[in-house]
Amino acid sequence: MRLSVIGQSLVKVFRFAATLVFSAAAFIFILSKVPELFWPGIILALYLASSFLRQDSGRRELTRLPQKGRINAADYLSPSSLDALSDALRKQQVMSGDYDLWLAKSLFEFPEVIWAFERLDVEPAEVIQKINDHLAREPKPKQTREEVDKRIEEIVMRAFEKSIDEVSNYVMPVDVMWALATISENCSKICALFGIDSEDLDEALIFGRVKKVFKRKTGGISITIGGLAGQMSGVRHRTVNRSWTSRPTPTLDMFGTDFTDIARAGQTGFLIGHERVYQRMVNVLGRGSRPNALLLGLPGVGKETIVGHLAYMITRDKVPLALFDKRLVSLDVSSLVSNADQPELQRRINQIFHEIQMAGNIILYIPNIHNLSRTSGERQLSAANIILPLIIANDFPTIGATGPQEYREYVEKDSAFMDAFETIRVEEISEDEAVRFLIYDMLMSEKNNRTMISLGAIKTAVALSRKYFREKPLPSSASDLLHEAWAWALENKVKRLTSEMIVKIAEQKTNIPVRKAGREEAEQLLNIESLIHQRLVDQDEAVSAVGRSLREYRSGLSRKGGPIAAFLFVGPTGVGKTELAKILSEIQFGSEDAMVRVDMSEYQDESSYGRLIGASGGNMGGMLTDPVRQKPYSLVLLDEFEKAHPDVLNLFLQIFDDGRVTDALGRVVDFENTIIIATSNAHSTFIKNSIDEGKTMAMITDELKRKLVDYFKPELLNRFSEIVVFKSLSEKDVEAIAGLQLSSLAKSLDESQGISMRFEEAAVKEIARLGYDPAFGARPLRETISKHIKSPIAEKILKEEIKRGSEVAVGFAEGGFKFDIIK
Amino acid sequence: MDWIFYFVRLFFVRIGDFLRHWYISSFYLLADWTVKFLEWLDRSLALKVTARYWLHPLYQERNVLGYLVGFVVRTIRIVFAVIVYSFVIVFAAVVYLAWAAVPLWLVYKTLEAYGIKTDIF
Repeated sequence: MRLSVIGQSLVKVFRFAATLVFSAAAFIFILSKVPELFWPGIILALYLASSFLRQDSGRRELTRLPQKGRINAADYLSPSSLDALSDALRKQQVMSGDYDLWLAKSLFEFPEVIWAFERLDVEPAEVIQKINDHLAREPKPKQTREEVDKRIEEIVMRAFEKSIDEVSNYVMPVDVMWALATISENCSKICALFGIDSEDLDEALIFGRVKKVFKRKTGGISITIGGLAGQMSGVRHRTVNRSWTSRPTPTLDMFGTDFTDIARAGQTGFLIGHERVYQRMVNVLGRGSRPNALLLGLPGVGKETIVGHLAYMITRDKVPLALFDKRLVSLDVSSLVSNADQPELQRRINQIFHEIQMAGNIILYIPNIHNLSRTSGERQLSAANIILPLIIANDFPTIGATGPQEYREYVEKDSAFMDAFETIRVEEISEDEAVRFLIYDMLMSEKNNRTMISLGAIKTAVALSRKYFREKPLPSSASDLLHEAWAWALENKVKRLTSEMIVKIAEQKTNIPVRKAGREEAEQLLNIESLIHQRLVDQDEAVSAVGRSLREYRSGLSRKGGPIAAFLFVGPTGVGKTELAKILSEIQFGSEDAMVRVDMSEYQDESSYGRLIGASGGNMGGMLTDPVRQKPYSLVLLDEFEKAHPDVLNLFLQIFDDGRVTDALGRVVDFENTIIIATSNAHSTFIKNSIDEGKTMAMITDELKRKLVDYFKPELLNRFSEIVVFKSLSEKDVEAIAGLQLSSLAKSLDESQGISMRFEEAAVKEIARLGYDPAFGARPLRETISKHIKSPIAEKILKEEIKRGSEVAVGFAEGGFKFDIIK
Repeated sequence: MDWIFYFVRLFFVRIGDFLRHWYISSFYLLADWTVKFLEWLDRSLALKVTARYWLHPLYQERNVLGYLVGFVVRTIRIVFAVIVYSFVIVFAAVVYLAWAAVPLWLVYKTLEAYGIKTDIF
């Protein structure tokens, strides 16, 4: 590459010509049958065949790097990479411009690079266009030949290191592209324009390497999510181990599944994440005494996958000596105890454990080990009483698996159980690990159909599942979402599944507006105060505060790590605090039913804390946590907030700060998509008096915040997004409210009965007068309307004085309400 | 004129690469295949594992018969595995030697065709 442009071109031409000449010569020499030509022809043919077979290979392989001495990184470049580098150099020398950009453009001629960008939901043609635009910019950077040579060295060295990390044979174009994206400022800028960072590119390039990496990393074994049920078909069973030191275990085989057989058949063993848990489990199983491990984690978190991986490693002899050449057998407790009375159960268990002891090479796995302790109807299922002493007495390795709820309910209480097993917690894998797992999972699934899944779709599925679908842990939840989206894509003949489609499917499932606000929603958000005021009178500060929070949330500017907003509405009773919450619930969340309402006056004692997050026995769900788990996007209304016990209020410190809380079953409940409104009547007299004294709302709010420490801890008050003071209602306000409620009644009657009603001003004023109470605000209005309007109307309907199609005018005169039926 | 020197140098480099690939890269390739094949065989013949448990009783029969029969049976197995593995290794070596001899033999045949007698073979 140190030749001039002309020199390089001449070398290329002569190489091509030489290849043609040698090929022709070999052909002619071999066919000539002249010995003097025949044998040289064979030599030539061998040389050409070798060149042909190695046309995609570099001069030397990375897997055989010398340990000492200097090496020339260029020897490890694949011919494609070298071509790209040379091609870019030629163009840069002729047309000037940034060498990095010319190289990026050259690399886009390779399918694996194009494919990687397609995986990132980026059209390669758009990227090339962007590169061309940058190249066309004036003034063009002047790079001397020395500078370019130095630059090439930097890029090659970076790509070289990357290839070693990826255990490649040669430095491939995808490695050069990665190096370029990492160290080139111009290329990084272009990637940033398309929302790509080096980590995204790294993962997308896995797709580009696809077959080689896939086969190497999985070793040809299949990926399973959700256990090994039904995996036994076509699997050869080994009754004894390879060293013939064990014995057959016919009874155990009858009630169990041999995981090592399944692993040997390549149907299990793939593991991503959980490395520490796996290592810990192996250490526990390999120790001399009490080699029993209890895997504790939510269903679907990967306990059985870890056990499957152990089975696979046993078949590959990649385990400590204590676990060498063993069989890992899963015991099915339910089949063991079915159709067995007590003596039969005892006999079966004794026989199984006798076989295990005699065999000497069994690792026993008991999934759902809590079933041993579970009682069943009239007959006590006392398998635990029989099996546990046997496990404790014998030193063969045992693995148990259970969930947090069952652990608390059945295992924790049993001291023998706790003594016998070392508990190892299995947490959900991280998002990065889930993405990697799903890349391999999707690559396998893509074999069976033609819909391509982009990396963005996988990442979006993982992020959305982590946020909104908490019923199952990762990667199961993300896998479910991906498969659902995939089914939709197949039905709609979509060739490429993108992140947008995943978002659409997720929104349909959760009713949470995941996407940015569309035009219609944006209009609604910008005018939300007007919409609210169609049903709520006055209280402008409160309405503005709510509107601001919602606009910030939907534009992505709200604080991360907490609820959308947490408000404390303070004011006298009956002034609209709860009404605002209901209106907001209907406008933003779809209906009033989307609201989670908790009356905090029911939590006045210390022990009531458990009712909010669930009882520790798992018998009762949390009155706060369960509804939010089911509807993560909702409004949470905490009425009479000041009446709750201080310990109960402490729960909200974490909710307001982190937006999450752990329930009694150890599940993390996410409040990040909730609006929390707490209402309180604290210091309502002070508010009323201050308003009467003519103080502004700002002054009242400031003073009130200082006074509220009488009821709430300062750290709790600080965590509210806003403390909003509700004013007492004036007569005019109450009239307006009466008018709204009467209009609502008229609308309801029109829709249900076909009866139109109109209310004269005098009637409205009288309803307002009767329905207002300084102590209760506008709360008595509903009862007043019911007594003076609804009840008489109901009587007239029943007497058929008012029928469908009637028009009724309601007035007030001579101390009574008049109902004029016009037609 | 640099390009001419480069082209000539390239010619010799390519010949060197050809010989390196033919002799060294192919050696590593064949060695890898042989090792993988032996590992695959070991999953059935289990030489390593059998040797580790050579003196253990057969099928956990902890009596004279179990120890004796175990020793005899495992010895037979080890011997058989050694023979099979040796055959595989020798076969791989023969294949490699034949492979390595091919270019030399072709050169010899060429020289013979031109009447240049050699005593190499």
